[in-house]
Amino acid sequence: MSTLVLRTVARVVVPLGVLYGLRLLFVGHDAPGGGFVGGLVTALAVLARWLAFGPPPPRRWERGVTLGVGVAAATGLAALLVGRPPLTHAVTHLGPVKVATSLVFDVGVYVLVVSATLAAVRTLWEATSP
Amino acid sequence: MNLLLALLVGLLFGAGTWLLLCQRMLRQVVGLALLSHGANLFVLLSGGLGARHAPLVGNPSPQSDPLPQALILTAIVIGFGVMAFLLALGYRMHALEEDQG
Amino acid sequence: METILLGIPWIPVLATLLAVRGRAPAAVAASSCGTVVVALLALWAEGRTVAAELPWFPALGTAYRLQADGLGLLFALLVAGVGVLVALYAGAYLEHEARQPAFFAYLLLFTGAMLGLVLADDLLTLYVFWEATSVASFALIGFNDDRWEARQAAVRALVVTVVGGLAMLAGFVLLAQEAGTFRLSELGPLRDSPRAGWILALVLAGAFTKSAQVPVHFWLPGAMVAPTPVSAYLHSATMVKAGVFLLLRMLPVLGGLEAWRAWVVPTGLVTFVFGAAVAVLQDDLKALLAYGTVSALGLATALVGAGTELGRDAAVLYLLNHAAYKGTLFLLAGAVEHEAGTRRIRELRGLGRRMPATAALAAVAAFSLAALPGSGGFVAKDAVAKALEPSLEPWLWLGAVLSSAFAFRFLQVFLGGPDGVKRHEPLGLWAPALPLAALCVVFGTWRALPEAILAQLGAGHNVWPELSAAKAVPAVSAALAGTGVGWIGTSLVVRWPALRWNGERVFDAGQAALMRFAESLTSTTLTGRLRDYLVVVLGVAVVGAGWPLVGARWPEIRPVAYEAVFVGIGACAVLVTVLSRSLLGAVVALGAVGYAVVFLFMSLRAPDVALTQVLVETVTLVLFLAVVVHLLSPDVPDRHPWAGVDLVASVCVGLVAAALAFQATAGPPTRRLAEFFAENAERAGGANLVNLILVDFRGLDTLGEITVLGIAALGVLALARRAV
Repeated sequence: MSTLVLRTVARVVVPLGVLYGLRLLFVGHDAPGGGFVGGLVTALAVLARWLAFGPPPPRRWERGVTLGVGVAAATGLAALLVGRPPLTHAVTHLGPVKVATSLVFDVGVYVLVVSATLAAVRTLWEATSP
Repeated sequence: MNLLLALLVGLLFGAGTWLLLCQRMLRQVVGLALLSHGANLFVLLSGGLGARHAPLVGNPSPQSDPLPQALILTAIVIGFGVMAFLLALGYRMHALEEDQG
Repeated sequence: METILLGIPWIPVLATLLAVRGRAPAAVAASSCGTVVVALLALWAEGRTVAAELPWFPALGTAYRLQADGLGLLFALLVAGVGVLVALYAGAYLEHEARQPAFFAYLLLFTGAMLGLVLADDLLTLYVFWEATSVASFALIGFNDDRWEARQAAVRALVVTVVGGLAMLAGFVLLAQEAGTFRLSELGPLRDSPRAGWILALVLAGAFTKSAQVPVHFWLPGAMVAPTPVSAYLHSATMVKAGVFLLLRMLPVLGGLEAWRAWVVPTGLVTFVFGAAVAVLQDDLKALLAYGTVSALGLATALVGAGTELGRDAAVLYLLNHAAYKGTLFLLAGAVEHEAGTRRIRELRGLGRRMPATAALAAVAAFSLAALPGSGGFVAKDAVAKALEPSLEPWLWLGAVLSSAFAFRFLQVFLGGPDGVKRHEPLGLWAPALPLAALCVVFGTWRALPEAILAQLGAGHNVWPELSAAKAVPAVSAALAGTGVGWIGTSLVVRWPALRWNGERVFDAGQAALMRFAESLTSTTLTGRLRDYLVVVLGVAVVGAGWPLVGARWPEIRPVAYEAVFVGIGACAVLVTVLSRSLLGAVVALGAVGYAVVFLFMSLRAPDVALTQVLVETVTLVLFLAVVVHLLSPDVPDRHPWAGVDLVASVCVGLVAAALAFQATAGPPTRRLAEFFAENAERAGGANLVNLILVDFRGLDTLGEITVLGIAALGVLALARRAV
């Protein structure tokens, strides 16, 4: 019974949660939000899905962790290519859309937070379940 | 109000210390969590109390100070990482004890 | 020429690569030293002072600078020339040694370092090569590393010389600050000042330790455990002279100071007489020669201490002569030990019949050591007598008598009838000594040689002693008196074999005391209990953070607002967390504390922080529950006997934290940084200042932070993942 309710709710809430997390990531530059918060919301949505439908088989979480740090670091180093100090970011406006390289950096943070959180929860969960 | 918040900071530090000094690993982890709450609140307090608006460009003044907030945000996330690591460590110690016992 | 100069120290160093391959390392070593000799002679023939440099630390004003001036060239020739002979000798001496390649590798490293030392024209370059010679000497003294005495002697030598070297480095840095340059040839005379006193003391500490002056001389006799080629090369002919060499280099800079004479001359003279007196009482051939070296270094030091040009020239002549005769004697002592199996003078008799070449060469060198007319030693001693003040003459005679005494004691092993044991003398063990012994004679008979040396030093005076009865008679009578003293010394050694003053014991006792101190310090401070460390850390934090609060003015109390509700909820939750007997209850209460803090963050207008906190709190709760539920069984909050201490510590920490936080709300907060961020937000193109700080202004912090988080996650994976 509770599983049925949980699953029904999860079907709606999980995609919304993931979307909301992404939204927080993208608006972070101008409003409350950002890579950390967006990543945590996304991770919690995925957690809710695991609670409802059972956890997935273990994955190679370390890849996500490496990818996140790698993306952030690469963004920082990219500034070196154009002769600026590392971690310098640029921002331009394409019509009404703002494009900032710092978003790529934040995406790295996002990927890392999602994978680190899920990795920790999944591993401890599995380790401690009988 | 400032006195009240300061007292809460003190309570968090004191309680955190007390738990940190006890002999059980998981209690120590709880104590560490209390300590980091206290420290975060402390840093935020040092940014001043009278703000009426969040630090967003375009908001009217008085805005709160963004720097302590950025520091705390970092601290929260690192604190989370440390917490997860300590819990994994606690689990591991327990598992080893069980294996030996 | 400049390139050749810069490359000279590296020729032997590169030769080590060939030497360690193991094919004829002695030949490799000898030929690389020979190459260096040729290069040095080319520089000599140039007839001018060649200088060259490579950039090294431009920001510090230092460079890899070398300069082939007269003094440097003379010493470099000595190092490389003796190097050839010692390498050839060592090939025969270590015939059956399995680790020959390693030995020659160390020897070549030393040669390179020593060449760099004597040619350096920069204080830091000099220092680096200086310490490199100490390290190479360490490796060579401890070459027989299966013996405790060898290892301990190596440690003693290393500690003494390196500590001195460090003092010297400090002196160099001060000197460079004072003079404005690290370049040796640019340093001018230093004027008297308290700072100059320090510089002098520190530089002298380096020179005295390296050249084994009393009372830190003990490492040098101890170093005699090294294979004999090492003793002959490092510990008599070259490395130990580095200290006197430094004094010679520093003479134009520090020689004008009043303290220079007052310190250097007495130290040198005491070492001179002490070394010679102790040498006479030695029973070990090498120890006898080692104390003789100590004595000679003392005399050279005293000569440089005189501060005159005459003193400088006499010191150089004396040192070069000493290298010739002492090198010869060491090589021959090694030959004796190699063939007779012992170095104890008491047990050696009548070797002259069996080893005639060795005995003949030893006699030549001993004549020079005793400063008999016609030998190099006579020329040098005469220059010494001219250079020293007349009031110091009695010391010189005392030293001369004692030198003759231990020269006689060395020769004793060749005297007397044969002991019936069949011995032979391999060519490789005496032929390398032949050029050195020849040098002893040439120095005393061919006046062009000392004059060429003095010309290199730029001296304008003549030292050649015209032989006359007035000079020959005292010299011969001193030698005869020395023979008598040596005879008495032999019987003294037999009666009192323990008549040897030993600084090693002081060093070893100091070393042991240091180790005991370290152990007791470790065992008292490192208990291995987290709690003990915490109490110390917290105590320091409470006192350090608390004392500025004493007598501070307290800020005014602001009126209570609606947020007080969350403070109350938070406080209650904290109390539940602490007092809860079950861990599960504590964890849930901890969650409540977290959510109460979230509301406080909101009320303080920190939406990003509040959002992050609420999410982290949730995930943490999940993690806690995952673990706690599993580990619930054994949790009883036990307390150790010192719960009272814990309580006091906790209350103190809480009070100090509260007081500090209260103080932090005093007055209007500084807005400078906040304004900076607000003003520059446009350049970053965002509006959320907190996020701008994280990704734009302080991106490196964030990068470091996510790296920490990533490492923590990997740690969790490593600790908790089931073995797949």
